Amino acid sequence: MTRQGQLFAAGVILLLGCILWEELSAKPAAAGVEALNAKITELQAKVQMLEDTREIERLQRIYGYYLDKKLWDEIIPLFTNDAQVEIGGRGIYIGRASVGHLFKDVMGGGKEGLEYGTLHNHMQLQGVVDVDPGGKTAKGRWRAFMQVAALKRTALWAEGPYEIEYAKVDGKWMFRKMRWYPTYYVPYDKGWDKLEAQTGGASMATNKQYPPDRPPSGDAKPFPDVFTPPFHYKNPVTGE
Amino acid sequence: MTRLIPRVVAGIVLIACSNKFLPAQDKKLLTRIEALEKQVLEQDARIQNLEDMAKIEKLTRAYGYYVDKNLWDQVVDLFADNCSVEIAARGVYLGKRGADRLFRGAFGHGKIGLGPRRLFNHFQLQGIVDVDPGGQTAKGRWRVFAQIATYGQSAVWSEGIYENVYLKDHGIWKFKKMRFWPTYYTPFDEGWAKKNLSNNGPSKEYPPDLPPTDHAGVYPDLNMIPPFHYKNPVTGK
Repeated sequence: MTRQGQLFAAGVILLLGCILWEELSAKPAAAGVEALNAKITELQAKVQMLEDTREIERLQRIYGYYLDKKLWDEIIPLFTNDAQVEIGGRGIYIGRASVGHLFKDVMGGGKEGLEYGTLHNHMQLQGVVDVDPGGKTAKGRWRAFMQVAALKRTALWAEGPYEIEYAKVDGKWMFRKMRWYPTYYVPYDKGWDKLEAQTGGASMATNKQYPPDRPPSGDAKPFPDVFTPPFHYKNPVTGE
Repeated sequence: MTRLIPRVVAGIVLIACSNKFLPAQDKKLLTRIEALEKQVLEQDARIQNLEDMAKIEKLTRAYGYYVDKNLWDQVVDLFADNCSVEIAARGVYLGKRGADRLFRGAFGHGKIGLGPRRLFNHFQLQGIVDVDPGGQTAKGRWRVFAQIATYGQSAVWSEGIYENVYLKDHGIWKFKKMRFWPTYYTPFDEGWAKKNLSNNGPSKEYPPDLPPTDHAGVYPDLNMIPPFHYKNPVTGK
């Protein structure tokens, strides 16, 4: 073999060696890194989902503490521009301006804050929050347990579930759709078993001065009537 | 040809061992791994935050279950050495000894454990927990819903707001500051419209270290809103 031939052969073998080296080391390593990348992306999505759930729970509970104190100016910005709200039998209010009237004018009598002698506790409990695939919308079921009073006039217990749709707008979770179904309104001193005690009063009627955009759904009436507000979720075990 | 083989082998070994000849693909891989490492650290911090919140929630709920049964020794253990505790209008108690004087002393009259014929339920509900940047302190707003009774004598509904500050002490979350504002104390058989009990003031037998920090009233005179530790979640104000 000539010296040139030797060099050529050496070059070919070197090249083959390099290719072999790549095959043996770099490719499995690259595949490993890609698998790791996929795992991290998956992990990111899981963490994001947990964080979104937390943010939504926080929003709902914050809403409750504002509602306790009738802080309507804090509550109204929590709703999206296209929000739709139905509370009790007051009818359906559509758009943030309308929703503002529902809270501040219909429920708040145009006043911000609790007045002397009034109680407006709305505990936000037992939240079931499900973030939809894509992470931009979510649904929640919560229950409100209420103690509402005006000194020397009325005192009542009320309870009922919310079904809520949330939307993430500019990175912030907001209320897009809220419906609250009354289970009962019970005067403190009468209890559940007295028939004359079952009344939602103004909560079950539409307001004349600030009428809703659409009439009440009319399907959910409080105790002694019974209504099962639809669940946004399937049975977690059977999936049905 | 026989002389050639060792030379070729030597060449391959040289390439294999030398970073200088590290294929471009390998360099790219290293950069990629570094980027992934950064992402992992970022996820780690987010998960840490979620875990801290879960631990703080557990602490607060555990506190509630101990209070239910007047297990004041267990309650006091949940507080940091330099804590401050202010419940209703009872005044401010400082340090773990202060916490013990308030809980075991003023509440328990020196006794641990719920006495016979007594009810002392304190549900801990609606928690909003925010871990501060750095992960060493946190704040929480909670509400308590209470049923308090002595059989044959009195039965009361009560509700109120906590604003707590938490501290991570050697890896364990504790109460650093506890402030509770009652909303109402109402006799079970009368209700809010008819009769409401006044706020609980300082104990004479187990006095506080400092007087009450505000003049917050209870229903019907809810003259102040317990300050929120957080901003409005949408407006940021």
